[in-house]
Parts: sequence; C-alpha cells; structure tokens
Amino acid sequence: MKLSSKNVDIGLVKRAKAGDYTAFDLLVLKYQSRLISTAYKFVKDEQIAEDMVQESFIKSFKSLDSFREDSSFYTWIYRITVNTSKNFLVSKKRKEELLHVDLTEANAHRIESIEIDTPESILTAKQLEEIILKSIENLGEETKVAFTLRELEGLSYEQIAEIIRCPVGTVRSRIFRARELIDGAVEDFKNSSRYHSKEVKSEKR
Amino acid sequence: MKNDKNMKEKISALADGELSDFEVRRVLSEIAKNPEYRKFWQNIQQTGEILTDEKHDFLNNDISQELFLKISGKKLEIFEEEEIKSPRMRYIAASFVGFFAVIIYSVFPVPENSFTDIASKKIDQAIESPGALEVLNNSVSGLNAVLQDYELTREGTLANYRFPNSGKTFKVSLYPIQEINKIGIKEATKISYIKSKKGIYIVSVSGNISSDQKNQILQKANLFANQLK
Repeated sequence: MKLSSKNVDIGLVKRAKAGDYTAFDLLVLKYQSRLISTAYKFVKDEQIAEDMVQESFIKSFKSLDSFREDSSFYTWIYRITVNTSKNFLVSKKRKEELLHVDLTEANAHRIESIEIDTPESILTAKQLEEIILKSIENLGEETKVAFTLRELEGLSYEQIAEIIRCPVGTVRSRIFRARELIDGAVEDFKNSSRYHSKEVKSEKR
Repeated sequence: MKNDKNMKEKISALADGELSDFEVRRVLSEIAKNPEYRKFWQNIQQTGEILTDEKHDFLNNDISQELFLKISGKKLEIFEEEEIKSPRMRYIAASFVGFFAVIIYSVFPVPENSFTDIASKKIDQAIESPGALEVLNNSVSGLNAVLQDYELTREGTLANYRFPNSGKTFKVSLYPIQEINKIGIKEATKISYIKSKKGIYIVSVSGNISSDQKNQILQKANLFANQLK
C-alpha cells in the first residue's frame, strides 16, 4: 500500500472519530469489495460474506478510539473481518455438533460443490487489470506520465510537477483526466458484468 | 457538467491526499449523496490496487448504504442518477447562487478596494480566531443545543450542534463573503450576511430545526459579530 493511501485513511479515521460518518462511509466504499471477497473465501456464501463484513465494519466503528493512528486501517479492518469470519465458522460448527448433525455423503458432496462455486458478481483482478491497462495505453503521453508517476511511483503532485516541469494544478487535472477515462471503461465493464450476471441468474431460475 | 467534473477532480485529489482539510469536508458530503461520485471514488481505489502488487478479486457488492443506516441511524440520502443529470435542477441551483450574490451586493455595495485590500486581510486573521466560534456559540444560546464538533480554518468556521433530548442536529457556519461558494446550496436553508468592524461575513444555518429557530440564530449571530477579533 502506498504511504499516501495510508495517510488518506488516517485522515478519514480522524474525521470518523470526531463523529463524521461520511468519512467512515468512504472507508467502507474503499474496502468493502475486497473485504467481502476475503470473507467469501472463509464462509463460501455471498450473503453471509456481506454480513461478516457489515459486522466487521460495525465492530471497527465502535472501537475506533482504540485504533492506533500509526497503523494501517486496512490491516486492522482486514484482521477484524478474518476473525469475524473464522468465529462464524467455529460457531456454525458448534451448532452443528450440538444438533448432532452427521454429514452424510450427500451433504458432504453439497458442501464441496459450494466451495468451488464462484459468485456471479465476482470481478477478477485479471479482468480488471486488462481493462485498466488498455485504458492507460490510450491516454495521451503527458496524461500517462503524470498518472503513472502518481499510481506506480506514489509521488506527490508537487514532486510530479517538478519532474515534468508544470504547475501542480496541471498535474492534478492530468491525473484526474486519466482516472476519468479509466473510470468510464471500468464502469462499462461492471455494467456489462451486472447485466451478464442477471442474465445468468434468470437462466438458472 | 462542469461542476460535476470539478467535484470529480477534487475526489481524485482526495484519493491522493492532496486536498485541503476544508475542501475535504465539502467533498465528503457530496460523495455521501451522489451515486456517481461514490462509484468514481470506488473505481479510483480499485484501479490503484490493481496497479500495485495488491491484486485480488472483488465482489461487486455494495453494503455501504445499509451500514450507514446501522451505524449512524440515518438513511443515506442519495440522489437518483436522473435527478443529478437534470439540467433543470442545475439551472435552479445556479439561479439560487446568483440570486444571493445579487441581494448581498445590492444591499451592501462595498467599494472594491476596501473589500479586497482591507477587509479580506482582516477577515483572514479573524475567521480562524476562537472569536469566530464564539459568535456561532452565542448565536445558538438559549436553544439548549450542544456543540458536537467544529472546524476552524482560514476559510471559515463551521459548527455542528445537537439537541440532547431529541437527537436532532443542525449546522451553523460563518464564512467571509468571498467564500460564498463554500456554502452547500442544498444544505444552507437560511443565509444571512453580517457586517462587522472586521468585514462582511455570511452566516448559514441548516438542519433539523424550525424556521423560527433558524431566524433566531441568524439574528443573534448578527448581534455577536463584533466579537470577531
């Protein structure tokens, strides 16, 4: 993780601590997809994975005061999500034991098949990477330089401005321009995925 | 369309930690209600992650609105996308800003030189002084509201208040006149301007209180404006 991303998170955490929930909302938007994906690896159910992440964010919000601002918010919320998911599995197993549920061969087979199932709404890193890289290729040279210095090298706007010898405002707008174009491509892809996902679901019904 | 691009550019700068504290507050409130900005913020993050070594799959689910309700007890009031794109709404918003600008300048015709050269310097010093918050606190006196948090910067002072019994909240802000664009048109339901020995300010009140209470706050703010040091 780039240092500045961590700093941005800390800024948002500070605001959330002061009672600004819109700042916490940005952290939720930022990390929800990857955390749901993480929880899914444990619980193997999309709905339960969502519940685990919701629970984790609520836990983290309630204990924000105990969060040390020299650490990473993502590492913290990731750990809470993993623990919440593991605890869910443990309690689920206990419940099953209490109910004396013996897994018959048929049941075991069912669970196995769930494990290898992939949710329809998943976006693989590879798919997204292809789209993003293609969009970057199509950027103008100056825009591409500013964007890559920011995203890949993690340089500040001021440092980029010094390197490419232009005002900081120009750097800011070039980086935005790049993101705007990438955003368009990613959104188109997501919309087509959602559309495809809905089609698959209705076919299954 | 242009405003939309400006806001997205600010969101992009926010993602890079390149936005001033004061601007952050406004951008956060815009993201909270605009689905397009929410998606843009999310896509910036996902793109950044994909381009680094933190490659992982994404489940394209959105739990943010449900979480907002569970944690804050309030529903996130996100506009419909059609509502945002409506040119009529933009026209109304622009007219609203224009209307206030005309009223302010026609009632207080300030000579250009005195405003730019003298008042703004004084305002710069005064606006970030504890006196600015004092004006706001005094303006809500008698309402039994509790100060929740505030922001005190060179560009202005904004304070959030809460009624302990009902839990209702409202905001009062104080900006020098040249910062009129900092006031969210949708949020500021009552605006007034006050002329003090330090310059001209705009006071705005928004939130969950009656119109009478808002008027009362604006009147009191006027009374206490001379406390600005």
